[in-house]
Amino acid sequence: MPFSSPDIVVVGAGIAGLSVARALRQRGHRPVVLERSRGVGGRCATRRVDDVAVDHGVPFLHGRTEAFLAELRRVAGVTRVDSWPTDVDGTGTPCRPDAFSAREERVVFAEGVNRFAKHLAQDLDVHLGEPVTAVALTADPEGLGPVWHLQRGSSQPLATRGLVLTMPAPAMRELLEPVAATCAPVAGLLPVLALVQMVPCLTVIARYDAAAGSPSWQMAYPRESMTIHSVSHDSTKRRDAEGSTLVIQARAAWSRAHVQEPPDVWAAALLTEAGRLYGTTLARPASFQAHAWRKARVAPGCELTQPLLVAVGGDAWLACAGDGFHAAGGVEGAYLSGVELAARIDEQCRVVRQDSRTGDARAVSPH
Amino acid sequence: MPLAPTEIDEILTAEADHECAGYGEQKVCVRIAAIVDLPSRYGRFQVVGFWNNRDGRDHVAIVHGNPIGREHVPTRLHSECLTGDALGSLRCDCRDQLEVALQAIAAQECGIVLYLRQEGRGIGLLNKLRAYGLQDRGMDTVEANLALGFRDDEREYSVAAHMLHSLRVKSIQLMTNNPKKVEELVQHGVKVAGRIPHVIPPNEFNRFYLETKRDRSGHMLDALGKPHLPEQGELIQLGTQGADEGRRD
Repeated sequence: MPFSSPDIVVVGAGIAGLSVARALRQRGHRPVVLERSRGVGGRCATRRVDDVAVDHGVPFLHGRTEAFLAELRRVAGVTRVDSWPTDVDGTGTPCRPDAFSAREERVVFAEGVNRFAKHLAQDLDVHLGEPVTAVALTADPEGLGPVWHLQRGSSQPLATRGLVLTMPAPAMRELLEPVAATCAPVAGLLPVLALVQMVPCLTVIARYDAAAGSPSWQMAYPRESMTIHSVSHDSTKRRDAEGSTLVIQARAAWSRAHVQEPPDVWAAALLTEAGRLYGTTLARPASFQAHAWRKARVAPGCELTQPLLVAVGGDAWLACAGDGFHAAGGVEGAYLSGVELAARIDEQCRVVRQDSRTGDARAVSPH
Repeated sequence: MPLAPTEIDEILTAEADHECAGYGEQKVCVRIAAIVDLPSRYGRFQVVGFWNNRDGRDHVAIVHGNPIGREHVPTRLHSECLTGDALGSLRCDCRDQLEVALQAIAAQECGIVLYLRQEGRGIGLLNKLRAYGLQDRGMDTVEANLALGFRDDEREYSVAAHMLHSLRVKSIQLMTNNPKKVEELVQHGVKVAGRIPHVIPPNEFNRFYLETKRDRSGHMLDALGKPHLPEQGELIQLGTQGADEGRRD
């Protein structure tokens, strides 16, 4: 039976997964992307609330490398709001402390930051609603070295030689733990992945009537609050917004302490704190939604400097990319780690192909 | 003779508005912001402080004599290593290398040590410490070190090249055992007139360590059984007669 499964499977359709898959496509490979949720983008997230787009993950896109900024410029069919946010309140620290430095460019799209993910996903073979629940490294029946077998919920297991993981590092460890017992390269990776610590972020999306008045700022980082890390005045990004929408994001330690509580309880606490900080009307929104980002961002200073790529026997290999695998961190780091990883994978496949030309006939063609 | 006050004033004035296209991939541009006397236990030096347009890492040149317009200036590139240089760590030999370099240039009429603030070979102190942490638990893999930034880092050569240009050095003799380092500097427009092997004379304290290091070019263990990360990126040469011996090279 010929080996007809995909040569490369990317797990996760966040920015890193889409970035690596897109860069691999551009180099002639045909990766398959498996995403457990119903949409692409991961934490680069936009949802519709009362038919208005709301960015409830990253509040804005920012970066300084030409590669990333050029990719942002290639996003078509969007209304750009350059330099958002221009009006920033408070002296707290943004997720990336240098987000507002002079060298950093900032942008949002009136249609939502998730449009960046949709742009990256164009022409890619992305399968939504496909959680990978277990992976195993098993011998190929043809005797051609080990192959990855991916369990995906109720669907048929998928076999591949190249496996790229792009979910949060703790989830990578969970998935790889059973493989480590029999595969030394994987066992060696686990302690490295453990360095990429992640913190949660409890988030409330609050909608207010026009009568409630709205803050004068676009983003706020209240240094004085031990509860709220930031408030994004999301409706200032939109043209069609009636009333105002705030996205309230909690501090990491507070989120960790309250994440087990019912969402109504911690959401009420965040709204009360917003009212205390910015006026009591903000404590009583017309409606609100709660979203718990359990793995919201890499803890500051925990980023590795590059994506990981290891051979696991025969032609099989394992790679990891994400915002924790590039010094830039954040959305920019996720994107760049994907681009860098694709280049390394491509280089490695070339070497293997050259080997196969000189020696045995097994081809590791990207197609 | 060190740089005279009038020369220092002239350099600082000329450097005040220095701006160029930048060196290397990062287009880094440095400019001299301070030149001061530094009497040290290794000799009388002057320290030249450089501002750069990329980050807050203030690189310095430790200079003996007056290198301006000179040919064949003995030059050593040293990457900062807090644990080794300042704390005397035995997990690396950075301090030995720095001391030998400073002694060597102090013995010359003119010489330069470029002290590059690139901890952990360009990636940072925290990642170096995190790599040590993995080693402490017996987990030391090539991929871990790569992920934490321990790889050949070419950026240092572009900064170093610009610093030598700012110091108006006509040509250098690079104190290195690594021909690749010479090539890299040449690519950045530095005239490398020669190479002086970087030799550490053994003494009763470091002989075993140095011999082991020479004999085992790969993985190194220190007195505590901890592995070494190759922070200065090259092997030192074991010698008995000091740096002059290497002139034949």
